[in-house]
Amino acid sequence: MPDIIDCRKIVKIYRDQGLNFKALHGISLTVAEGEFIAITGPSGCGKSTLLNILGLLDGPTSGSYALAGKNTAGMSDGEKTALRRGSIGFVFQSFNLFPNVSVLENIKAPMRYAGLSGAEAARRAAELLRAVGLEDKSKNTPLQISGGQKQRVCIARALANDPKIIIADEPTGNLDVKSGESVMNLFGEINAKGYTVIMVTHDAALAARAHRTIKMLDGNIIC
Amino acid sequence: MLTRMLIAAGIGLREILNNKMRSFLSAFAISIGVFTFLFVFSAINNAKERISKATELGGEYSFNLRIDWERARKIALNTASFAEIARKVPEAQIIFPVSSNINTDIMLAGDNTLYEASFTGITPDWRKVNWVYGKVEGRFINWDDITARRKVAVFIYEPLSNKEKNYDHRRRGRYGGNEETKELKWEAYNKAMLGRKVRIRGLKEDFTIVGVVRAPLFADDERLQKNMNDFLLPYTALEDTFYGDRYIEEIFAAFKNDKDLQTGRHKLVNALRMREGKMKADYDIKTFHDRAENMFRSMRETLLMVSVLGLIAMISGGIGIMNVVLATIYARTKEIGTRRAIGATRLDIFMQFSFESIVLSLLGACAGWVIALFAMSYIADLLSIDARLGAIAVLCAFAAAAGTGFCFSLYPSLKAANMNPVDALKFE
Repeated sequence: MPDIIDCRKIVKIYRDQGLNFKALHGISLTVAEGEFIAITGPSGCGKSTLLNILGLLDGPTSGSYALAGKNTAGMSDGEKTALRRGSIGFVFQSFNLFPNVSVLENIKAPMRYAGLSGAEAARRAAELLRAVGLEDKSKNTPLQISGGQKQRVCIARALANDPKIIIADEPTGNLDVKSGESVMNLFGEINAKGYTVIMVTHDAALAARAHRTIKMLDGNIIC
Repeated sequence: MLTRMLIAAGIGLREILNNKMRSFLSAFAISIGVFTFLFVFSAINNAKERISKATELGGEYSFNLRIDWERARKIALNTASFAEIARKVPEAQIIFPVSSNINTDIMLAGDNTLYEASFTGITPDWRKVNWVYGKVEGRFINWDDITARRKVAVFIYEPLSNKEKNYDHRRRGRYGGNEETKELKWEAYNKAMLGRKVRIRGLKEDFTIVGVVRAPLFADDERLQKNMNDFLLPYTALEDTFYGDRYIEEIFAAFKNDKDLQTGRHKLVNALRMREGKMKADYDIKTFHDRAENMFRSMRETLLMVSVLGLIAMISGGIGIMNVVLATIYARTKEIGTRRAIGATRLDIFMQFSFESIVLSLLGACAGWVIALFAMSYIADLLSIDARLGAIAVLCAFAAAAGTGFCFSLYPSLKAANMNPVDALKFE
């Protein structure tokens, strides 16, 4: 499989009140298309920073990052947004669903930003809801469903624009064991369909379900 | 782009509905601003209409020349000598002496009631200037009446204002019925004046009403109609009846264009100076533009005050909106980060918040319009200003409200659009 992610010597330095803090120390990483990667490590080791760079939400201070063969260095914010919208889906630990609108509207949002019509977006959102087993919850707001169901909606939203990569930051962190298991099974199904999954987790058992585990410490990949 | 705008507008509207009280308070200030804007705009527009009407009545290239009473005696201009002066101003399309209005009590023959009335002395040229008056029932004053100094009069009646038409006169025992019936009855009532004799209090001689003419509706406002003249008399007859040894104190002259007006004015002033024997004498000349300026002056201060209040209300509304949007951004920082992560551009975020402000302002504008529909006439009465709502004023007010909403949302919307998505996602 070709590499969908190719990072070379990624350094990230944060500057705060005249002080520099080096969060990533020249990380190089490649991820093949269809891989299921788990990134583990203690708090503050740079997992989330790496995830943000991989998700094009942040840029490296130095080093290069190519996503699906496209070098992201020098891309404008608009170009990065367009690439992110089409290539990456995000699953958050605290779900980050819009509380005042229905579950269906939440799933429609990325598609609407991608320019799909309301009807077309609604049709696909209904399909995705069926795929995550929540077709009967389409009209409910996120406040009316359980944590596990919220994460399923979040996964459905991540898949809305049919991205190549799903980036999940502690997807089971706010869930009970049963719901966490169910969500992990869903990730397994998604990966089996060919989606690349990059997941950050503290849980060694969950990391073991990935094809490859990347361990980080103090801004470096240690294995 | 349209899809993105619709998404932004939809989100904005939803947020307004989710924060009803906060939205209401911001929109309320805007609505007051919009109302005052509508009020000022309508008042200015009506003043313009009145000036335009005045142009129709008096002619744009016209003036009134006034001579004070003492100097008028010295110049000793009477109807006979006036004709001589008028001949020296051939450029004037119309030139006639204007008499002061004489207000007095009258009695109609066969009716012992005293009525208040005013009399104006004119020549037949009056009709050329005041052509917007209706068709004459009977006949108008002619030159024979002037030279023969006949005691004839033309009665002017004013049409009913809308307020009068809607007023239930039956309660006061006067004419009733629907609007059309009232109008017809009113017309018949006035036309019946034709042929009647008018006796001025304190005099023995009667004036015969030879004509009845309907005045145009200057404005749908009784206050503006109160000063209308009731009777027109041949100038000579008025002179005989009221003036005694008084002389012409005012001359009206109308011209084809500005060039003629300047020449005519020069010639008339020179002729009067010759008669007065003072070659440097000045006369009080008021052109049409002076009269228009006078009309505006009286309402300028009130309008200025109202405008300032409106501006303050509008700015308060704008600041309110800015505050609401800033608070919204603070409360929805995480949402902004999430939207950026799932594919919203900076422009999408900018539009989301600026549309929310614009929608809020437009809701305020709608409320201001509704207030204006109900309260405009009462407040106009209170401030003694003639103001009626026009479509252009409403459109401009909506545009001003939307503009205010947009301008005051610029800072918060840009702040939201330029937020770092990572920082926004971390925000708790």
